Amino acid sequence: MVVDNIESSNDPEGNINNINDTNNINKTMIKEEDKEKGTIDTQSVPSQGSDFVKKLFTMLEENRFDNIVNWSDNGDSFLIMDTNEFTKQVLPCYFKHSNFSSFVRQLNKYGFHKVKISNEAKQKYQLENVWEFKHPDFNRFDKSSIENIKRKIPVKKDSNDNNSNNNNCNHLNSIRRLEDRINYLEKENSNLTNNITNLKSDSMKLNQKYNTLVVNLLTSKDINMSLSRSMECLYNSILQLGGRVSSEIEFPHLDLMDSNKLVNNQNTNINTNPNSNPTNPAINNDNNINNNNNNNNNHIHNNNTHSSINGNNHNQSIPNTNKSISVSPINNQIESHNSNQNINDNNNINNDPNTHLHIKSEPFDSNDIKLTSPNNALSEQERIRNRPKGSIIHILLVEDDDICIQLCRKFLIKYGCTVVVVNDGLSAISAVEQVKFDFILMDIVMPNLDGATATSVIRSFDRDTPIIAMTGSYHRKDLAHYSSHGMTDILGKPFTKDDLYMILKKHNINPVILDPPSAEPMQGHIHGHGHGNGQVQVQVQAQGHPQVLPPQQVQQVQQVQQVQQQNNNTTTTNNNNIPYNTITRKRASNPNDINSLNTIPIINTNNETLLTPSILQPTGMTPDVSVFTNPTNIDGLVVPSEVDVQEALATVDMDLLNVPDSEYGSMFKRQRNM
Amino acid sequence: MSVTQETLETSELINWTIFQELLLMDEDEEGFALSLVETFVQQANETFIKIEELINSNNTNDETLEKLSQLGHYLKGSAAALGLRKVQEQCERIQNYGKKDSFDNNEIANNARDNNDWIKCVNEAYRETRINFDKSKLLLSQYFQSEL
Repeated sequence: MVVDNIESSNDPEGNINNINDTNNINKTMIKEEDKEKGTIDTQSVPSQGSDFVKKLFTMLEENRFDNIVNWSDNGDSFLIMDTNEFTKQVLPCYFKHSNFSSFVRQLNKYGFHKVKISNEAKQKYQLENVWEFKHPDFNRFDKSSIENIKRKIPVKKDSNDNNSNNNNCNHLNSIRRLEDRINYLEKENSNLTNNITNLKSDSMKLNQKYNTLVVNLLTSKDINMSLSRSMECLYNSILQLGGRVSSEIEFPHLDLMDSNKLVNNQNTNINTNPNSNPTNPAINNDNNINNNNNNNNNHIHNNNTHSSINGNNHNQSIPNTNKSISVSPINNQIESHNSNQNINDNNNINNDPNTHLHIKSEPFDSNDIKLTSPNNALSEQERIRNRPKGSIIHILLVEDDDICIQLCRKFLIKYGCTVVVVNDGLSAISAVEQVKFDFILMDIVMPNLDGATATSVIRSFDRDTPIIAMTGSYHRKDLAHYSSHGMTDILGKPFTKDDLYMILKKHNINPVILDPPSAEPMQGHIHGHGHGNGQVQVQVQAQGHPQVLPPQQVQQVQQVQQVQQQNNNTTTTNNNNIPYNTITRKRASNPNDINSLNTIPIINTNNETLLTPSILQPTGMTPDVSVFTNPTNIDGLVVPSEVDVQEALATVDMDLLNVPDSEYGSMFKRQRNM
Repeated sequence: MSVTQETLETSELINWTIFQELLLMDEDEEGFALSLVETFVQQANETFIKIEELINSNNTNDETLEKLSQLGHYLKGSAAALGLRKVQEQCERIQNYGKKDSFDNNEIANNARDNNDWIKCVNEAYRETRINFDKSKLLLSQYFQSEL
């Protein structure tokens, strides 16, 4: 009795706790067995015939659960028909526990053996879940012989005399325990896996919601801006029509000021950089272009799809005489966002000859519009068209610290890049929506929206532009965090010019060197970007890739087909017999005079066409056509999958962080020592 | 005593690797380094005012600490970009104490119990920042021979 109790209470626990390695188990088991032996010696040895076996016999004789456990036909073995039911019902009733494996172990200890049922028989009689146990002395018709069934456990003396036997027994037992343990662990494991899957799907959902929220935030911000813009228009026109009206309307002056300030900020940020102004087409602003702009304008009215960018273009290129046109995109915007807006009023403004009052704020318009399409970023082609002409490397710098901006910009310009600077995550998203950049340097800690989140939004429509986290903290968990948001790599702060050079080069951007940090001259250029004098012929690999069109011409059309037609037209009128997919490019006469490239690109002749830079194939691969045919919408938000994260992590060279003399130079050393 | 490049190189206030870069930029654009330093001084002064306001505001809630931490982070980045090593270090302390993190096992910070204690820690780090900032400013003023 006592023995049995000990068995049933000790075994399961012992199983769970001591399974780390087999040796250990053996040792602990020996100890346990010894203890048990002690109790057996002192208490239950005299009564020889074991309670366990008696109970077993009684159970079978009483036959209360004959559909679960019963004698075999000839009475020399017994069958457990359903182990589950047996565990649930019979064990608690007779043995005061519900641990089947413990029961089986006990049987084994008393010398019972499981009878193997052949697979054939199993299938034939549907005995899948049946266990049959047998003992030579355990017979239905010979109750007296059960007195001979004894625990196989050797007494203490035996264990001394008969070590090998003992060991064998222990081995067997430990293997069984291990089996139990494995079963238990497997169950646990599958539970955990389930939990993880649930959590994962939860976090996916949350992520999606979060991204949608961010995008919505952007949208509402933009709507706000365009609203306040139109309010301003209204206000101005009312002022001109007669100031009386304005005093009667309670006009939210403060709000207007605020939003203006916002817009202003945005604008100045972008405009502080002399190179950021993507084009200065006003230079070659001739009638031709004006006409085209007018055509464009019609396009805008006809289909609202891509109006914003075209509006943008002419806002910069239209001379002041076209004021009314410059306002119209706003109308469009308002129409699409808020169908109930005072369209009539706005139209009035358009017709009002005095509209020139808000010409002053015209750049705001363009910026405003720039920001108006967070959830339908411009198509790939248009983003490429928006690149500043003549720019070899177009870089977005997202940073809120003035000093870092100045330094970093200086470095980048030194490497022949054009730089656009924005100050927070929201502006970064808007900027990337409009223009395809070759490279994005992104601070992490910023006002409005942090760099990581901004990146994940950007990744929903731009998957391939390298986005580099600039940050002072690069612990492993930070890296994983950045990667999971779709950031490509990391540039530790503070960085030197060489660090910057290295990171550019690492991502296949070939900086033009004014004073190379290394002795290695950079003459090899990817994708036919010759840096020599004269002309370079570039064969574009795939047919029908509009992105290779000269931006100047492309700018004026909307549909790809139109692009092709127009392109043919223009190339012929330009007396430049360039095949559609072959671009001739002329470089500045002095290749070392990089500064001439850094300043606002001067497009002086019509027959100088410039190739869209390496960004089209950032990783040196053939451009993927599908990329260009799938404009992303709000539903297409990309939540980085686990695989993505893994891949992204793989591209971050973690080891570099541990190698102080890595190509990143001394910055890690500096940080590591802190 | 005149301050030469060598003085800067050996000064513990300056991270020479970084600062050297700035000076190299002067080759393309004269006065660039100085203008950056001037920007920094201005930026630092503005930040100091904000920090002092927060410390003296008697608001010891978490928000105050968080703001202090952000200001510390901001100035840390700028200082780091210029290679003002000591200022950077102290700003980092402000940043971390603002997050109630005794990252450098500082004795006072280790014993900080409530927000009040943490504000005191930030204050201490801020004093240190000011001291190092003033030292750096003086050094650079002498180097550039220009009042900063």
